[in-house]
Amino acid sequence: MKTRILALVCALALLLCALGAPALADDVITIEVLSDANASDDSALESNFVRDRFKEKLGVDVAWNYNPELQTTLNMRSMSDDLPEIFAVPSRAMLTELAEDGYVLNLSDYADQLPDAFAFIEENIAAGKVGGDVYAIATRPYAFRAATWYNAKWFEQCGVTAENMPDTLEGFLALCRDLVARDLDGNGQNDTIGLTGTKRKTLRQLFGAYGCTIPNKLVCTADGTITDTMLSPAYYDALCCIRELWAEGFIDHEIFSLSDTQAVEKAMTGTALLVSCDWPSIKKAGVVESFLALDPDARWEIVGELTGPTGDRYVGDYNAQSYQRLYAVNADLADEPEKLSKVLSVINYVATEEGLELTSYGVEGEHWSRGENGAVNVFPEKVQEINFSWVYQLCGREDLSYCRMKFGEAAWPYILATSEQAWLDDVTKIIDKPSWYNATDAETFISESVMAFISGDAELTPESWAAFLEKLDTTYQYGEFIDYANGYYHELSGK
Amino acid sequence: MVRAKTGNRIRETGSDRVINAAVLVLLAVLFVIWFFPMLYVVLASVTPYEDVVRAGLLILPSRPTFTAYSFLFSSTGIVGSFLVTLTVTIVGTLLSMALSILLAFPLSKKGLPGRALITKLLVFTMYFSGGLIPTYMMVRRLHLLNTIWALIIPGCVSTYNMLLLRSYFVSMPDELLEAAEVDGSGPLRTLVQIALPLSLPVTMSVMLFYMVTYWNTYYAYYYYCYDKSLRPLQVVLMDLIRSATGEAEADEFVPTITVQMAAVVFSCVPIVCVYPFIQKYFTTGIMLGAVKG
Repeated sequence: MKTRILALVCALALLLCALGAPALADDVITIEVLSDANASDDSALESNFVRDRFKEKLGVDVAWNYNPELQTTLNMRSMSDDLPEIFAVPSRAMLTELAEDGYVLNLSDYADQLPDAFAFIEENIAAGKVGGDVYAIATRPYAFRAATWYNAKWFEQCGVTAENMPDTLEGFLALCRDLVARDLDGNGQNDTIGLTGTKRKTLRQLFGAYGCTIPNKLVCTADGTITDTMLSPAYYDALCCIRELWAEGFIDHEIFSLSDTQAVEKAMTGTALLVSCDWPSIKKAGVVESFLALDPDARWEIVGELTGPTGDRYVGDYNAQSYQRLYAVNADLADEPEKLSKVLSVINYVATEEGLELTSYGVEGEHWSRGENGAVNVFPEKVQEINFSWVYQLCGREDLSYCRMKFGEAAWPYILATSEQAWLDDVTKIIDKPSWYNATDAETFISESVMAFISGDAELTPESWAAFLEKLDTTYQYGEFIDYANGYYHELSGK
Repeated sequence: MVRAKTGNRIRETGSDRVINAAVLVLLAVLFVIWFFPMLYVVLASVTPYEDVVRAGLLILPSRPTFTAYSFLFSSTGIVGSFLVTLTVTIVGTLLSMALSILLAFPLSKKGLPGRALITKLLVFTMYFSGGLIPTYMMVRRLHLLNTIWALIIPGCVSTYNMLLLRSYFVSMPDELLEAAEVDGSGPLRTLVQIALPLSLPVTMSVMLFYMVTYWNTYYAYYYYCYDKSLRPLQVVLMDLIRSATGEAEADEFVPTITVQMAAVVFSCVPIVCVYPFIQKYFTTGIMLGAVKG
């Protein structure tokens, strides 16, 4: 008898729990978004104001599925007929594959349901196209963030300020060489490196001052031609300059093994005079706090544009027509028009003014208020609460205003200054490789050869450089690939 | 080489001493090579960030601090992940051991019908697995997706571990088990009361293999789950390291090297602590299993 009563009590308890559990309204559907975007406090994605707004306004509960193993997971889930409603696609190559196999929805057919989204990504919409139709929302790229940074404290110790800083590459390098030789860290050893950074991108401003990019980049010139700057005569001169700096030990020989954080740490500990990195690696509040603990007087400023021998002043390359992420929609939803409509409403909503404000600044009145001039004023004490919201920016964001709010006024001058520097228009990510072109082998050959020229492992003479270009053309059909890239780009972009 | 036996000891010759000394030096060098990185990880986790960055290599922390641990436990959700991993490890190991033993013991019996065929089929799976996609489809059809069972069941039985157990059971004298049967013991009782106590070395070794595998659960989470409350420890650890070393995303948190090291210590220490208790069985168990079969 006791057992039966106990069973009855347990059953009632379970029933009450079920009744008491918060249930979604009947018209709220749950969708899954698979993405490699994740908030630092990912528990915030379980329940938050953005998710609540989606439920209230659109009748959609967005379950965020962060997954850094996107390619494997998408392969696995597409083959298992189990793709989520919205998913990030790691590359255009995979998007093309998925589109050709019928796994992703042709969004062009639903343009009428995505007016705000299409308008917001107008400049880079081509990056999500396959065969002339939009198969993915190419989120707006972040603003240009790269810079070379100098140790202002050391420069000023030697009487060099921003006002009397040389603005030519030659003058600047001469100055830096002089400073490096002065034992600025005062440890009695000649161990200060001129320039450190992470991998090849360390060299981007050096190449940029010659009007060139680091290897394996396709750029769009002012007249709309797609080219690889490596094919220009200035590239050889840039290589000669960099090779000389490498041989002197001015460029850190460890750049290929350093992460962004390690490179900046190296600079902060007085090992390097200059560091090449994006502003978040050196100007985020958390990073600045850590480095001030190392040296309370530390100050790192942007070198800025330097005029090279060719008259160019590029600081690096930037993907203005490219994308930060590609978001696609499951093609199976075409059979469920009602659900599809709700899914598309989420994508469109985050591109509306209201959606952008929500995912960038939070809830009006709770996290921010509008000033008299219409400007958004985020309450400083609420900034932490909206840290996660950027993951929901399925179409991207107004990067500069967002970063100003998120990273504060201390970082803002640097955010703005980096974005205003000159850059070469990198279109590498949106040029799909043709099947006849062995991109992996060609890119490896280019990378290894250029590094061998820089490091001195290979002789660098006009003849050896010409022989390298000749081999690239004959063995890897590089010239034909560039022709193909031009045709492909113009067809894709319609320009 | 002449060696004189004195009492129970063999007297060492000069060349023996040289060789022994060389071995000791070599082992000492290997010990330092092995031990220093581990020591560095522990020391870096209890040293202020600025000292770690400035010093590079540490011998002793100048100002011991547990700030990194404090941050780790308060801000990264690592404690919840620790409990997930602990659950997966305990439940998974028990389940794996039960299934492996119950599979290995009958297969060790010569009289089992189809024994050779079953063994061959099992060995086949060691060389040709179903592959990722069929496994995912199976997990999905079994409705295990996004449950803790998805972290346990797909890798529950390792054929290799099962064969180790089977080899050990095969090596047991038939007479011993037959004697138990004569005394009225059924197969299950014979297994539990006779075979298992006698096969403690190999059982403990295999258990350790399973424990370490479950402790290191990583990919299964990303392939089969997305519920944040199911994140295993290694996933959190990897996220911490990835967010610190990858391209800077527009997010605020940058885990410092000390936080990363604290996470490494926290994720390693529990499983490392298990080793000393199983060490004595480990060598014997695997050696015995390896030469029989």
